[in-house]
Amino acid sequence: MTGVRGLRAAAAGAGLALGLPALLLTLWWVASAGSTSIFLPPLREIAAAFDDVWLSDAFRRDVVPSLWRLGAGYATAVVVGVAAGYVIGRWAAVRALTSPVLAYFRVLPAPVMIPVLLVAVGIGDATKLVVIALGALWPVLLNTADGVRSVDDVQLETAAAYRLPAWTRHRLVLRAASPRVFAGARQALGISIILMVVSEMLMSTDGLGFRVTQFQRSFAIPEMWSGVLLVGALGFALAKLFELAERRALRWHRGATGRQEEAW
Amino acid sequence: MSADSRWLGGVGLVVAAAGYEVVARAFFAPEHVPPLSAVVPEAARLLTEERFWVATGRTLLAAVAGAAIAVVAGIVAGFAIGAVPPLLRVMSSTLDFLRPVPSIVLIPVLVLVLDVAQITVLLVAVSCFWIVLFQVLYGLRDVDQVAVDTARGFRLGRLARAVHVTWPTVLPYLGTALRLIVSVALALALTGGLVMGAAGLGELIWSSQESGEFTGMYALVLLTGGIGVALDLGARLAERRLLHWHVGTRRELAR
Amino acid sequence: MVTSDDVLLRVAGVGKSYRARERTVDALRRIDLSVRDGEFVAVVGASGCGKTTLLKIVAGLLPATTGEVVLGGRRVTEPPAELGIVFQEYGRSLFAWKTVRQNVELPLRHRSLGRAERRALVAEALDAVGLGQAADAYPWQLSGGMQQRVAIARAIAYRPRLLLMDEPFSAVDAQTRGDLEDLLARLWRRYAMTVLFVTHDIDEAVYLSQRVVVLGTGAAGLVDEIPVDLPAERDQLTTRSSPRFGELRARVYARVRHTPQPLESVTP
Repeated sequence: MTGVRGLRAAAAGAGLALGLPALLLTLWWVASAGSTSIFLPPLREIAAAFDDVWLSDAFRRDVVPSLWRLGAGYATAVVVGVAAGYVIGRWAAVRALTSPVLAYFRVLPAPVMIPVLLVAVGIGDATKLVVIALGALWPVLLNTADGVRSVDDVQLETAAAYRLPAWTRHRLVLRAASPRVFAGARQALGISIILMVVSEMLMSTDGLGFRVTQFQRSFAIPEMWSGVLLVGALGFALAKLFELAERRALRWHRGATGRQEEAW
Repeated sequence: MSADSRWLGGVGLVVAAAGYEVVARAFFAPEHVPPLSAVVPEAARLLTEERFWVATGRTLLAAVAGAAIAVVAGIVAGFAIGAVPPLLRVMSSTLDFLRPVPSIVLIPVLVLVLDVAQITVLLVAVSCFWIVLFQVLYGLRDVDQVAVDTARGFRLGRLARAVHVTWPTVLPYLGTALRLIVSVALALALTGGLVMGAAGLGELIWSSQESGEFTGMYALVLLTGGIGVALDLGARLAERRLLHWHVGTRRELAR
Repeated sequence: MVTSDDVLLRVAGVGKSYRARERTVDALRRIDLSVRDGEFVAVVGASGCGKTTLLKIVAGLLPATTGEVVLGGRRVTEPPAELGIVFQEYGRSLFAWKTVRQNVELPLRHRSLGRAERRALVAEALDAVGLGQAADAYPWQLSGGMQQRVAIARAIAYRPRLLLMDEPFSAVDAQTRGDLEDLLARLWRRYAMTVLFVTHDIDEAVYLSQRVVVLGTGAAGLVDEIPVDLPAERDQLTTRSSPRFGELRARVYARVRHTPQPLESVTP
C-alpha cells in the first residue's frame, strides 16, 4: 500500500485501535467524577497526579531505569534465545541432549527465580536484568527451536543442492523459522514486563514497580493509580510496537499463508 | 523417542547437574549458591514435612480456582463475542488493548480492598482469562462453514448446531488453552505468595529467603519446578485426550 | 551404444538400504546407468521403487550404501557444482520472502560472477520460461504452474551440465502440465543440457525423453532400458497419437506393471 491510501489506512487503523480505549477512559472519567471513595478517586485527580509524579524528575529517576532494565533484559533473552534455539532446533543430537533440562526450565515459574537470584547475586541492577532475561529466554528459545526444526525439508535440500555456503543456509533457515521466532519473542515481551514489575516490587529502590508499591503503602492513592495506569499503558504500547515490527518483518508470511501467526 | 535420544537426554541431565555442582562450589559461597549435593537431600527432607504439602495444596488451590474461573468466563465471553461477528470487530481493538496489561498491576490496587488469597485467585483468573478467550475465538474462527451449512441443510436449530458443530471444533483449542494456562496459573499463584505473602509455596520461598534458610529455599524452588513438570505433563495428556478424536485438520497434528 | 568418452553421468552398482528396527530395507539395488552428454533420460517405475532416492543419490544429497556415482569424471560425494535440480513441490522449494528474481538469483550469488552478468543470466532465464514480467512478484502471488517455472528458471540460470527433475509436473493440472512439458523440451534443446527426469507418468516419459529407464521395486533393481525413437520434433497432439508412441508406451507400461514384487531382504 502506497502513498495517500496507505496513510489513510494507517490513520484509520490507529483510530480504531485508540478509539474504543479512549471512549472507555472518557466513560471512566465521567463515572468517577463525583467519587468520594479513597480507593477509587476521580480520574481527574489521577490525571493530575500523573502529571505531578511522572512527567517530572521521577521520569528520570524511575521510568528510565525500569525501561533500561526491561530493554536490556529482553534484548539479551532474544539474542541468546535465538542463538541457542537455532542450535537446538537444527541438530537432533543437541535436541536430545538438552531435552530434559529444557523441559524442566520451561515449566519452572519465572517469578521464583527472583528470590534465588537475590540470594545468589544480591540486590542490584544486574540481578533484576538477569531475572528478566532468564524468564524471557524460554519462550524465545523453545519457539525458535520449534520453528527451526520444522523448516521444510525441500527448502533445506534445495539450498544443499545448489551448494549454498553454510552461512547463507543458516540465514535462510532462520528466516524460514522467523514466524515462530516472532511468536516466541511476543510471549517473551509479556513475561519481561511482568518480571520487571515484580522484581521491582520485591527488591528494588527505584523503578516503576517500586514506586507504585511505595505509593500504595503510604496511601497516596491517586499517585498509585497513576503508576498502575502507566504500567498498563506501557504494556499496551510495547505490545503495539512489537506488532508493528512483526507485521513488517512477516509480510511475506501473511501473504503465503493467508493469515498471521497466532498470538499464543 | 528412540533409545539413543533418551540416553543422550540422560547424559545431558547429568552434565547439567554436574556443571551446576562444579560452578556452585568453585565460584560461589555455599550460603549464596548451595551445591546440588546439599540441595537435593534438603528437598527430599521437605517432601516428608507437612508444611510443604500444606503450602503446595494452597498454591494449587489458588491456581485451580483461578483457572476454573478463567475457563468458564473465557468460554462464555468467547461464545458471546464470537456469536455476534460485528461485536468481535468492534471489540478487537479493546481486547488487544487490555490483554497485554499484566494482571499484577492490580496488586497494589486490590491489596487495599481484598484479602491476599482472593487477590491471588483473581490474578490467576485474569491472566488465564485472556488465553482462554483468545483460544475460543480462534476455535470459533476455525469452524468449518461447510459443516455448518450441512447442519442447516438438515434443519438443525442454533443450539443443535452449537452442540454438534461449533463445540467439537472449539474443544481442541480449549485443550491447547489448558496446556497454556497451567504454567501461567502456577506462576501467578506463586507470585501472589512472593509479593503479597499469600499462604502457599510462594510465601514459603520468600520467608525462607528472609530468614536466611537459603538451602531450604533452593530446595523449595527445585521442588516447585518438579510440580510444574507434573502439572505440565498432566495438561498435555488432557490436551491429547481432547485432540485425539478431532478430525486432523490442524497444522500441528500433521506433524 | 554408449561409448565411454561421451558419458557425462555414470551410476555404477548404486544401492541404498535402510535399517528399520531389526530389518534391512532395500530402497535401491545395484543400479547401473550411463547417461551421455546432452541426453534426455526418463526414469519410471511403480511407487516405492526408489526413483526419488536414486535422484537424491545422484544429486549428492544422500549417500549410497553401495556403488558410486561419477559425474564429469569426478566422484559425487556431495552436491556437485554442475548440477541443477527441480523438485515436485514447487511452492515449497522457493523461498517465500524472496521475490521471483531474488529466488532465481540466489544460487548464482555464490559463484564468482559480476553483478551485471548475474542480472543478465536471471533475466534471460526468466524470459526463457515466460516469466519476464513477474520478476518482482512473490511466489505466493503466482499460480502453481508459474511457481514451477520459477524453479525451472532458477535451475536454468545456474547453467548446469546435468539437470535433475523429480516428478516436477505431477502436482500441476493437466493443461499446465502440457505447457510445462513443451517448455522443458525447448529449454533442453536451447541450452544443450543433460536431463535426468523422474516421473510416474509413462506418457510423459515417452513424450519427452530419448531413453526410458524402468526401475523395479526394491531388490528388482533396473528392469529395462527402452530407447525412444520418435522424431526429434514433438508436439502434444500429433506425437501422442502416433502409432509408434502407442507401441513404446505399451512396452514401457508392460515392463513397469510386470516387474515382480520382491521380498524385502531380511537380515537379523
